[in-house]
Amino acid sequence: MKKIRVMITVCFVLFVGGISAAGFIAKDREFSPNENRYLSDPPKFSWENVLEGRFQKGLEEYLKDHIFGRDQWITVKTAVQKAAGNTDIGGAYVGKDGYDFEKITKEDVDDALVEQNTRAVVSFFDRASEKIAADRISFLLIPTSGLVMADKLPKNARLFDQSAYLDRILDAVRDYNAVDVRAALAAHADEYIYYRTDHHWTTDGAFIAWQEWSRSVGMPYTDKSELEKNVLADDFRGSLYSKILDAGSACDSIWTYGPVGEGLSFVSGYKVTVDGKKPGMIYDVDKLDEKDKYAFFFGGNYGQVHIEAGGKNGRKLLVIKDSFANAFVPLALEQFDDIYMVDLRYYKGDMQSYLAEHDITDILVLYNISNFISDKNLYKLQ
Amino acid sequence: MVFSSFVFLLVFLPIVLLLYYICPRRLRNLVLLFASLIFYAWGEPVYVLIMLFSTVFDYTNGRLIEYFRAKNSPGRMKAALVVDLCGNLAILGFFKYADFFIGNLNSVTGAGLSLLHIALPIGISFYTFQTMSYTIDVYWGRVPAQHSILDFATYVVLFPQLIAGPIVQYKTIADELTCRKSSLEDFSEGAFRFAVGMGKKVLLANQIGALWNEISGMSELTAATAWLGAVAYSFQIYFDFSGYSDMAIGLGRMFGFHFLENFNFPYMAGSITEFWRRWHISLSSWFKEYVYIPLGGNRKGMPRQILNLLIVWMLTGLWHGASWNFVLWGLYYGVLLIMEKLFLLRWLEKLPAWLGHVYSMFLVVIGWTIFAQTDMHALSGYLKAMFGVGVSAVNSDFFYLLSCNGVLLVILVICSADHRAWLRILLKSRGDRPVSDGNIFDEVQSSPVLTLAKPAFMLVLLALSYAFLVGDSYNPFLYFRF
Repeated sequence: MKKIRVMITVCFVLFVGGISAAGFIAKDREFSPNENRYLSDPPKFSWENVLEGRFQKGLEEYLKDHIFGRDQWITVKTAVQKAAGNTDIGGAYVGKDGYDFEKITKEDVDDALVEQNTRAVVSFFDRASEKIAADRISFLLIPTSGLVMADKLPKNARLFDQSAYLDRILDAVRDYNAVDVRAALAAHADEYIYYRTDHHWTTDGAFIAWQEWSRSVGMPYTDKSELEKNVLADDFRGSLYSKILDAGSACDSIWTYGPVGEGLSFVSGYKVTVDGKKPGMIYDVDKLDEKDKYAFFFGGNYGQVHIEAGGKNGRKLLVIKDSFANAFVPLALEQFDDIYMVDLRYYKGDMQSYLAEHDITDILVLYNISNFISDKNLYKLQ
Repeated sequence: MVFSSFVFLLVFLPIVLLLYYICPRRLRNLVLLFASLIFYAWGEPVYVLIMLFSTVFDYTNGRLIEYFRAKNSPGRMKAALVVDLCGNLAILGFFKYADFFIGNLNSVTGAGLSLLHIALPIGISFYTFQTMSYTIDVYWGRVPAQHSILDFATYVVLFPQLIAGPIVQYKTIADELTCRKSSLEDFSEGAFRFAVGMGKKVLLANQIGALWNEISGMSELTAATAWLGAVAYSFQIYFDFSGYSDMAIGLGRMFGFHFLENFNFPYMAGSITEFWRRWHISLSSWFKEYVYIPLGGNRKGMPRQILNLLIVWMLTGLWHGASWNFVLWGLYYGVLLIMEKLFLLRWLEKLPAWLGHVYSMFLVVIGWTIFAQTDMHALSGYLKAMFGVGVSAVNSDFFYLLSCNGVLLVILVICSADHRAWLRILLKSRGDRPVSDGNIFDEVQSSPVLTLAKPAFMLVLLALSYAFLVGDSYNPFLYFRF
């Protein structure tokens, strides 16, 4: 009896004291690559902060972020949840065949915001169409993997009625070239068109949509068979991984398509300027060594990106976009003289004057539906 | 500060344990007192002053009652008690019920008085009840007045039971406040109990609470989903609350205090009467001792007893929060208990035991549904959904939520059951000795392999709790209305 008591006491003291001490001895990490976020700093002590509770809250966050073995604790947690049959972990769904999915339920959708965003796009198009022909104004609303690859979702998983929203929004833009890529993507649902651990589409997914769109605007496009595929990474774990944090999760690949025998070198022929002055690049290979490897495409998101492309047909394309366009635009480099990409999250200027300033001849608004229904910057189009 | 936080686990607890055990015995109450003040001030840096006022106020009144007793002056004794009770109830009333009162006054009279918007000091309902138990018992002569303000303050602010109970009556630990031993048995049993409570809170209550959180936020319910949500909340509140009590009892024991049990497998009850003998025992015994019996209890005839029960249960409801749904919840139990007293218990006795369990759990789950919804409109909508009014019976949402939580629900059912009863049956079938009321691990101490099971189990519980505290963001404190 006494032996058990000694053992319990020793175990308790060593566990509680040990983890506490180890956390204080170990050096703090600034960034958690696994979770793809900065960890919190120690809170600043002041009586004001204490009285308002900020110091206490900050200390709790700090201790939690820098606890000894943070990644391992999370791994254990996820393993236990998965073992118990839970497929809704960290705000994402753990699907079949290594696929993870964004969890967006009916309650997450703000109908008023969807309405406002749709109206913003339509009114932007209406004004732009005074100078640009309606069939050169395109709208691409990309479904999420949860719709296209629904058979890989956990059975009965709760999601908002994405198709109904796609129908409604595309219908509102019907006077313009609203391209519905659902069927085309669905026809390839058994291919690698979305990442398993990231919410983005792969280069193959973007390729399908690019072909569909090219056809709809009457642009010539290359077939995949004439191009060379270059796989650049096969250890990518994306945004969904960062939510679920499952140590046993699959890894994703990142690849490009380009002229045969040229590797990535063909993109060096296009001059890229970021935010009006800085030189940019179409493929940022340095990002392949970082956690968020999707940033390989254009090095991430910028307010505006200008590409001196290789079209030689006098046409200038403006892409108003979210990150889904980053895998798409490299495919369109030979279709236009210039391509301008604007990300409304970071660009503050007036879009109508942007059209005039850059002699835009074609417009493409490209969003993923989950961004489109939640983005709070689209009003800037009006 | 709450127990299921890293400020507590990584900083507060190790430091306090260390200081407590390196200090000589006479300084230990001082360590506990300062630790508890920091513990409370961590969450309520301003309201700690109310608690200090309360401490001085009750200490003074205790001494006054003693003084007037010695002077043979029962009138003044009573006056001191009345002053004390009024003071405590005024504090509680002002901070907890003022806005509720004003809001109701406005809706009845249309007076349009502005609300005070006072934040409720955490744990105020627990510590005012504790201190009132002290002065009342001093008045009744059940305990001598505490002369040491240090010991008395230690009692009032003692951090283990400060913010979420149990309501430790002064007489329970009066002796241990001045003189208590620390033993290996108390420390190890306390540590084990703390780990069990932590596991209940973090691994069971928080997990199933996330399901309730999801369902209560759903815009479209079906009857099946509504029931799943109500059951989820019933499990959440039990494992959360009894988990906190276990942690409190465990921490108390680590410092040499022996608190009374607060829960006794309430979901095993065969009647509502039995449920309330097993649920939040420290609260029901407080109301019984200090309200029901002084009101006359069952000694003044049936009509008076029924009135007494209704008063007690309305107050019990109101104690849980300043909102009508809590009053409704209290009266719901008041009526059920009266009905059981009048005839239902006699009927239940004739029925098979399992029917009694079904009956009790059905009513308890409905009770928790009332308890969970402070908005009366939302409450009626939810109850309607449970009974299929205007909603379909089931849809795919239900099956998804069930598939994610099925294993957890089975674990919750097993953990709600009294494992000692099972062990008794098991051991009996093997012809072993009968089992006492001890812990499951104490029954198997004869086996050397199973001896290791108890520390191993504690470590697993602690490790998994840490893992879920690090990895999971859902970790609510449910008693901010109490």
